[in-house]
Amino acid sequence: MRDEFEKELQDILIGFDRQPEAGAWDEIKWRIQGRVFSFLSPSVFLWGTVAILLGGWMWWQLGPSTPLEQKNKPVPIENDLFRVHTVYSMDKKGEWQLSSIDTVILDEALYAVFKTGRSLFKRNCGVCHAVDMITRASGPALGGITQLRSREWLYAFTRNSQAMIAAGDPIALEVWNKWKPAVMTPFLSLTDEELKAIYAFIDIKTPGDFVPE
Amino acid sequence: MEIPESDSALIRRCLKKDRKAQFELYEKYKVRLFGLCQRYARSEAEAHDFLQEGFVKIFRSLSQYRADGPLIKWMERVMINRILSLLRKKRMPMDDKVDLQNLPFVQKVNSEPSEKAEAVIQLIRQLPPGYQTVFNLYALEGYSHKEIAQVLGISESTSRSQYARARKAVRAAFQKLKSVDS
Repeated sequence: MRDEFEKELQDILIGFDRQPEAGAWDEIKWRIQGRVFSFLSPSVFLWGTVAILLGGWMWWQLGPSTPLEQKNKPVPIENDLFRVHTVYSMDKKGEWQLSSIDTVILDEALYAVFKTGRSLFKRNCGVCHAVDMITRASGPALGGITQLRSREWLYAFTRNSQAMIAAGDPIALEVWNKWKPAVMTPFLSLTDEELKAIYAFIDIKTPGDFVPE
Repeated sequence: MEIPESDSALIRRCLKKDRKAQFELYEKYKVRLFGLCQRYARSEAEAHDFLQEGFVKIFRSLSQYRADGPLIKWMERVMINRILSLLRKKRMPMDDKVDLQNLPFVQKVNSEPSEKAEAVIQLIRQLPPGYQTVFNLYALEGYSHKEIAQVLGISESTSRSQYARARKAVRAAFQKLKSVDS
């Protein structure tokens, strides 16, 4: 039997007004927008990827041939551990817009690294560098950066860019000349493991065809 | 000034995988559903887990919503079903020997509505897990004992007796809370 007591509790509970934490939507979003499928079995993954490739290829063949059409080909990166599939679509103005970047991670261990890298990136790098890896923000877009610079250089620069500039490193000076007076803060406490995770995240997030400046 | 969008238009956009619409739907109902999750969970972390699992289920089965009632009611139902299946995996014991006589005391609160709601949630959380669920379903979700028996895999009479005991304990603790408050 329900009576006034239950009603009283119900009325009180309506007053609840607390928000879930900020990152909650991100987790939901990743799952419903199908960005990372590390838990699917390899064969489901394989056939899914084949279907996407076939669809993308057919669209490419049958659609108008603009240079951007070519960008729908998935490009394998880094030891076949993941595939990056970049999708463009045409907006109302008839212009190509980047509509989604679907990243598929086949390896459990890499997925763990990806998550670590993502949270480190958001906390440390995200203030100045865009998380989509292709937009210029307070700092340059980092997409594809590991193809352009060596790991040693990147780790040293990330940890203390100003010291490298002061010491006269030629590439560091080049970057400084393009971006001064914006100063990149040092991150001396980042360990090798953490930097590895951050750069893995950057690699995975880079659209397959993006060329860094 | 922006006119609040009707749920049906919002749903239509969500079904077309409009990402902004999905975010809007989440923003619109997140507090209400988070409150629900808090009642069934036993910690902040678990509440967030339930919220995530529930919303994923909601978005994935949105096409099954038949508009035969308000959207929020449907969403709550989907979320509860998801929470119950997650709780089933945790195997809720319904231990008769558990002492429901004296629930741990919930601290004094001021009379802000949100504080009161938090206190009631904490109070419900003091119940042992099985009792917490039965209490939520019967007192707050309006399930019948028959329905509870079906979803929890217990007998109707067990549901009835567990509820009676849980209600007695919650009521006693609630009276104490009210007297401290005033």
